[in-house]
Amino acid sequence: MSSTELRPDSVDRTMSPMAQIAQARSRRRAAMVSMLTRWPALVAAAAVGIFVVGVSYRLSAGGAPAQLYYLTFWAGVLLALLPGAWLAVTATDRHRRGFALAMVGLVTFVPKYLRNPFAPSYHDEYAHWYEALQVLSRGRLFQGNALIPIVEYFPGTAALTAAVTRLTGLSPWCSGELIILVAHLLALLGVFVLVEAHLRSARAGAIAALIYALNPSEMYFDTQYAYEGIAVAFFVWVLALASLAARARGTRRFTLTVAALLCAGGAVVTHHLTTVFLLGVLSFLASVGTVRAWRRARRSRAHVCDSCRTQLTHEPGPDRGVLVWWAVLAGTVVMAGCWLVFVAWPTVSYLSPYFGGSLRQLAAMTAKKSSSGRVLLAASVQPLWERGMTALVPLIAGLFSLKALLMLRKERGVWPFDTLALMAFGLLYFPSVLFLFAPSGAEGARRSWAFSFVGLALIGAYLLRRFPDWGRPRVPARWRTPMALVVLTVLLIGGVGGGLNDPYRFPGPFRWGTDTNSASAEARTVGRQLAAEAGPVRVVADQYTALQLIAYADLDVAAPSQDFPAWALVQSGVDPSRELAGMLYGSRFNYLVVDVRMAEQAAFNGTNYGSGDPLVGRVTPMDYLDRLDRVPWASRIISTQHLRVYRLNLPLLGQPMRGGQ
Amino acid sequence: MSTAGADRARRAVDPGHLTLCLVGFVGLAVALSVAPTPVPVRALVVLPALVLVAGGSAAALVLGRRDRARGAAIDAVAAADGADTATDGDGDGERPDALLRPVLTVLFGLLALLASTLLLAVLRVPLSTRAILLSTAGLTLVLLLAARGRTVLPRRGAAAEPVPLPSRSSVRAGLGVTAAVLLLVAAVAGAIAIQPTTVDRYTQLSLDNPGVVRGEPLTVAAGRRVLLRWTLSSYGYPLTRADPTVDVTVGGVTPVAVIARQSSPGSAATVGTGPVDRLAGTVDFVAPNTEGLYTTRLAITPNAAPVTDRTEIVVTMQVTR
Repeated sequence: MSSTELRPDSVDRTMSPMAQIAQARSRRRAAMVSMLTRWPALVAAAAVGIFVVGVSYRLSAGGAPAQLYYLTFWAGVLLALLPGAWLAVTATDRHRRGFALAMVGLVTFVPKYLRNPFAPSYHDEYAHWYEALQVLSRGRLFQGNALIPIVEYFPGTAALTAAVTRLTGLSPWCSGELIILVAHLLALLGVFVLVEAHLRSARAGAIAALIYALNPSEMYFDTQYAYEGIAVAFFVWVLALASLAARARGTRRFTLTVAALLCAGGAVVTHHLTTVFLLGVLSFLASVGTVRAWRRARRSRAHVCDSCRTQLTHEPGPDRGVLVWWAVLAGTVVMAGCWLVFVAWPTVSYLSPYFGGSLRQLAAMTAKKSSSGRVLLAASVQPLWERGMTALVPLIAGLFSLKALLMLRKERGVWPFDTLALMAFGLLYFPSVLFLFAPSGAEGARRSWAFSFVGLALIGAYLLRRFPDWGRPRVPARWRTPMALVVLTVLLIGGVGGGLNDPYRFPGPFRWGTDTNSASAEARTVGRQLAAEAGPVRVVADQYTALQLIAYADLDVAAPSQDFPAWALVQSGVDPSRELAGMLYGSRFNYLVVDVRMAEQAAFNGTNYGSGDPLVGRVTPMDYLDRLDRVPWASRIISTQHLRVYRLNLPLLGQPMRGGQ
Repeated sequence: MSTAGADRARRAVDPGHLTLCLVGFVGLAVALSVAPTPVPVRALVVLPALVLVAGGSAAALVLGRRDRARGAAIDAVAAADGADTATDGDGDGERPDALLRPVLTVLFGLLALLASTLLLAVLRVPLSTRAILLSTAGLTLVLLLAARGRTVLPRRGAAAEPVPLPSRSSVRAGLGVTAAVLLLVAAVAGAIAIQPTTVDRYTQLSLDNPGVVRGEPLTVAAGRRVLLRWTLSSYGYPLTRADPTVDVTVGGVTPVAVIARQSSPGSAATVGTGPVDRLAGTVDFVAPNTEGLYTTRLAITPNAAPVTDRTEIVVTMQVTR
């Protein structure tokens, strides 16, 4: 659109006065939008928005009311995001569109980066940062990891971090953040390329990338320094490159297939869950393609009419890429199988409780109205309006998907099998929402959204690129932009609200029982002091102090379970059983670290020692902690205002003490 | 001037010379990485040089030769029509890869970095700077030569196509992107700068009897003297010269002949914990006359504002005959 066309005074005088006013208004609006989406304005808006997000963090860290810092946060994010989003959808130039999408990617990365720019804060970040430090200090991959044992077997993140650290001299943390930023941008651009290939529309690609950016994992979970953030980019690019290969011919098809396989290899060595989802979606795509080809062959044998044949010419080759999908699937199966068998066999025992456990819990909750059912967003300071939008997200996604399915019903023969199969994969989002109500399924449900949203993004792009030609009732032109902005805002706020909880999203005063806001300098110095005096010893500690002890002091912290109830040292008013004492002594868990704040506040996350904690949701009685100073089998050797370190001498268990206390 | 016209008017460079330039660029990156170069230079030159050359070469291997003239023409038509159908990687493989190629460059660069590090792990070579540099640079050169071989070498005896240098508009766009990035980085830096900094103030008391810390029981003959060594560290506040209060009880009773000594407080440099003052001391007392296990409680109360909390260590003492 030229600047002359945009001038509000250039109104057609032959029109009726009302029409002239409407036209002038429309042009003024267009001129305003054009001005706001020019580069300097767009970048300036993003910069101001980022700064406002910083202000919201300052407010939350200072203990301001939740309403205030949430509103400030969203004002900043929307100011930074909406102009870029608008340009990404409306631009006609590929470079402008690409740059706008990169801006969207940057803006969705920044809130997490500002949350903890200099050191790990999330649980998984501690594990990966520790792994990278171990790899760098020992010069070898596959280092044991007490926080997430499985990280050892998926060295992609640590390998990339080590390489960037060595080549640049940046700190491991900075290197990791740089890699995550690049992967985050790659994932968004990958969705763009994927959907553009399927719907043959760059605008649809941009819409899909935006929808993907709204997924609950995108702004916080997948931008943390952890393996999924990197592997998701590989996942998206396997699908994008295989889709391009399926639509290419000759050498280009071959090279694109090889490229897709290389990305699959990247996913396999980086993250187990991504590999599982990748295998699932590839199997589904290849199966759907084969079934469709078989049905078509059967129909053609039955002499399908020529007109039907003409309708299907959207797909150029006879196989239309089925072989590409099978090749990528076969390659991924071989790579994942070899990796599992020869390198990462413990993954099986690590993942199986999540699948089986969550299904059992969900079935139990369906059978009886159990009191153990989860209350979503419980114990949260999240404002009501954000919770409301979170509840609206599945509803809006459901309505959109339903509309898309109704539209697809009339033209499903037109679209290639892989497009339809990817859309069907996106529908996985809806059953996964149910799993939020099962304690051990909630994590898996949330983790599936980074993958299923690829399909949902395709559905959304298919639908929205044809908006407003959806049939009756037609939306008036002047309502389209505000409507689109409102829906985008609701999906963005609701999506992020459905992801991580308040302590993960916002800095704040010390709060016992969170991975993020329970971190203290005291725990770090105590850990270092213990390591300096006793070496890299084995320790029993609560799940929050454990993060600091492992990451900063390289101590080996026990992972309590029903078979190894190490919590009994602290969460009980009696001596540990002989059996537990034997296990602790035999495994050389000779030290105990206690944070007395667990006797002041109930853990925000509910537990102090993982899912088997006998005092779930309750404060540990102070007497349980103080009795450790009166038993013969524990000597307090380091002490601060809040932390106590005991040297255990369990052979003295049951011996009588002399004198008063 | 149209984009196609601009391209025609653009100056071109011989592909052989360009290959040599890229090899030289990789060599420069290796030299900078080996030499004691400042971190910003390494981050802004070494990493991009290796990653982008490796990734760009891999992208060229996958996507093949650039068809600049056709790409520019299609872009121009698409822009003029306001159409959104100029797709990358379509069936005929000759549409413009305007967005796909740079994005794949970064993706394959990341994969090359990962592959070269994993290769070292397979070969059981320690992941030192030199090893990672050599493996990445080696892979980069292999990819570069393969890509130049595929995309630059003349086909069927035809002359090699000259590679156009970046146009003025590309340079302007690059400068614009750089300015945008600098502005956004400044915004992020500003947002970080306004975050409140909190200093944790606390005191740490530790027992300095190495045997007890490592698990040996504190065993003493009845009626003999016992010596406990301790260190008091203050974090986030200085210890004053005023002596801290020292209390000892054994089995709930104050022992006889207690002698407490302490050194003057001194600053100790530590990494990542803020300012630290330290004060070392000992406490010496007579053990009970009756054998058995006793709880020995040593409490230190620093007389230094703002922290005056009593801190304790509690040791099980075994009194023998």
